[in-house]
Amino acid sequence: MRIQTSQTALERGLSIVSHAVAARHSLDQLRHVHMLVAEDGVRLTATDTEIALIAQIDASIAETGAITVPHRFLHDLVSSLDGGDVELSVAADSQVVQIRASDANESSIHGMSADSYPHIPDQSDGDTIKIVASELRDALKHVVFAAASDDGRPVLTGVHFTFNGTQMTLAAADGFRLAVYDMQVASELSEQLEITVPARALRELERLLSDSDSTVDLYLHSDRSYVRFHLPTTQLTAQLIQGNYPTYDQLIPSEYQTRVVLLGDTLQQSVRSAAVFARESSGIVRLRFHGGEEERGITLTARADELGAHRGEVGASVEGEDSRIAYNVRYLQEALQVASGPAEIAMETSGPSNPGVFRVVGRDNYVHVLMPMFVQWEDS
Amino acid sequence: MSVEDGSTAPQRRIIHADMDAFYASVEQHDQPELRGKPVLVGGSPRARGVVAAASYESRVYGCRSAMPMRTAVRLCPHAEIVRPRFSRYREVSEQIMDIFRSVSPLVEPLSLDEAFIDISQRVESGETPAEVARWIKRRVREETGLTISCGAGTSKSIAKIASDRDKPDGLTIVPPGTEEAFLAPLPISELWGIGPKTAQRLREAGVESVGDLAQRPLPWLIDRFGARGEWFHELARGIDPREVSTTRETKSISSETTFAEDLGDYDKLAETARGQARDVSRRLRRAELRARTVQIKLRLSDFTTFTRQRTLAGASDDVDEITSAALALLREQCRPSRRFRLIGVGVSNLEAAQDAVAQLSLFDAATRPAATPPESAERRARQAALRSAVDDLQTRFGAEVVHLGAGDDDRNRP
Repeated sequence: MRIQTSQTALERGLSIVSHAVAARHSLDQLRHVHMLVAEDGVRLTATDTEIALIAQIDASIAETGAITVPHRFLHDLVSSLDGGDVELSVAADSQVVQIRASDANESSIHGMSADSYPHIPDQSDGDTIKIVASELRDALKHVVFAAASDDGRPVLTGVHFTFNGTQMTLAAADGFRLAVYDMQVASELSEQLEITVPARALRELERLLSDSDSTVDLYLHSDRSYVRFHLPTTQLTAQLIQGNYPTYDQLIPSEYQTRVVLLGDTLQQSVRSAAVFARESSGIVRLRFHGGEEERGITLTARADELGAHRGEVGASVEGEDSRIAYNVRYLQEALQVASGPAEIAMETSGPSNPGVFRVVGRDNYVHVLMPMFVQWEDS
Repeated sequence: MSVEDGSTAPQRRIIHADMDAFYASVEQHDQPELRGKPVLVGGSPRARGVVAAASYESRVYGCRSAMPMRTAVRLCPHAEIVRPRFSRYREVSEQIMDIFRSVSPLVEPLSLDEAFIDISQRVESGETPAEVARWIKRRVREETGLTISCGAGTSKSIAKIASDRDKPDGLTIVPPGTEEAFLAPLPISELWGIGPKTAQRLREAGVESVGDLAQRPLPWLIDRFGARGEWFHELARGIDPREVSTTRETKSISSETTFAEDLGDYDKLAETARGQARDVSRRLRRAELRARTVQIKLRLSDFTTFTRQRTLAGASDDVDEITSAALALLREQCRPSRRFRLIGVGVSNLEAAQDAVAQLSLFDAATRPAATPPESAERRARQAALRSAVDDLQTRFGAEVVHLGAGDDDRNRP
């Protein structure tokens, strides 16, 4: 095996796959990066068996071959090199990679045979769906944060995808909140289908999508055990989470007693001040919605035991009854982060113990449901 | 002397009451065939057990509590080894604490079997400390069949030392004004608040007895021990202003297990952690507290010990929430090459349950029709009543007697 590439291209490829390296795994192979040099290009692969990342790098190929090398070691070395050309070579029947940099640096790293590397399923038999990258990125931003971070109930650590005709619905929920986002995709599946993709894989995908404006191919293997996202120079493969995802439609309230509309930015600003206090105590922010002729808006209050208290007023249009609700401030902030810039946000409530609903005004393809905190309201 | 008869401040009188070889005595009382025999309460000698209590018969052979069981068995091979029954000890503990509280409302428990009792009020109204202490000893014997040792003095430190002078079934009164004379001949390690390391340093400096310590000039002590030197100076003279505090604030609650053999398997570790989370959650509810932080403690085969913690969405005493946080932390630490010697689950950042708030659950909301009146005050009350009934049964009959349906870790709610 022998290739010539640039230090920047190699460094970028190693960075991209680094998130799938199982750096502390006892199995050597999982701490390694797999390098495949074929006639049509060079592919770097890393996997921790839950997800796999593949990066293609530009290189001129002198001799094909494959090897695995300790990822961190190679990455640290390549990062230390000056920009410029790098030559990688492995002699026949050898498992030592020779790295020769343009500045006369010469190193060798002991690798292992590529044959022992875990098999990453390849595209053979399944369905492909084409999605516009920027739209997928937007959907992920609205949903992934609501997935559970602990594995008390494994399906909830994933994002649930439903495919129905050209409609794709993403949903995530932990025990306390639910986010649902509908979008259109270019291609249609032969059947209605549901899968649950680990949220962790989708966070990686968001990262890969950040500088991509093209289309993404979502490839779903026919045995429905894994999903692969194809981007122009990178690929992400993830094991699907098995198990029934809870039916969530019934969790979305269809009615409300109070609806408040205001600029997302304005509310975020006000919540940020309240959060300073709430975080020091039980994390509670209390919201009171006032309708009527005067002083229509929201009063936010938060208390930090023995430290102090905060009260903020925000003007808003309030429809329906005066009401109040208390939220965990972290969840409230995450619910609001989706509405940035000039977007208007609508909050709907049906009393202090019923789920609250967050929507972005003018976008009926998104809904976020958040359970309140049960608190004592001193003036009742 | 700061404390003198007839001084302006009212005289403080404190009793320290301490059960004799508590766990071992309870076992000898409950199992008459163990009476008169050396008894060691604790884990098995094969499984790295530690002596939790040694009966007086076994102490003759040099057995002591906190000693590895293997060592104790070597010293006294014919000792009877009894597995501890903590629920039974808690029950007896409640009986004796009730007796103490009938003497004075100012009771500060130090552990299951010892407490400080401030009896100043009773002494002022004419009783002598000796009368009060004898009454306590008699009531404890009548109600539990066990003996207790009492020490009385003008400070906690004096009372604590006095109760240990004449064990078992002892009674030592240190009258006001005699504190320095009482303390002088004692080795410095007897002073409450001087640990083995400090005692060693004092001995190296030529201080053997409390009397030696009392004679050292204050600057000499401050020079060597800093601010603590001043404290030692006072302790040696019997001066200890600490009050009997009835509200020892609980800062954290935890449950730990040392394995007979080091474990690496997540499922087995998780099984232990689940039991510990149940125990911690039960103790939280008993104390009417809720926790905002869950931590796990792990000790590797090479004795490296570390903790990892996670903050909950809100203060909770919920067994599911505590379990799932603990298991998530545990999973992050399990690696094929790692084996653990000890695991513990704990909670901290506690707040009183009545101040606490609850994050309502999304999936509970789904089970009730949208039109019904808001929440669940009723459901919460029912849940709380159920939990408290289970807690009560577990306290009385042991943790294994009853669990909530389908295991506490059942996550398959609708």
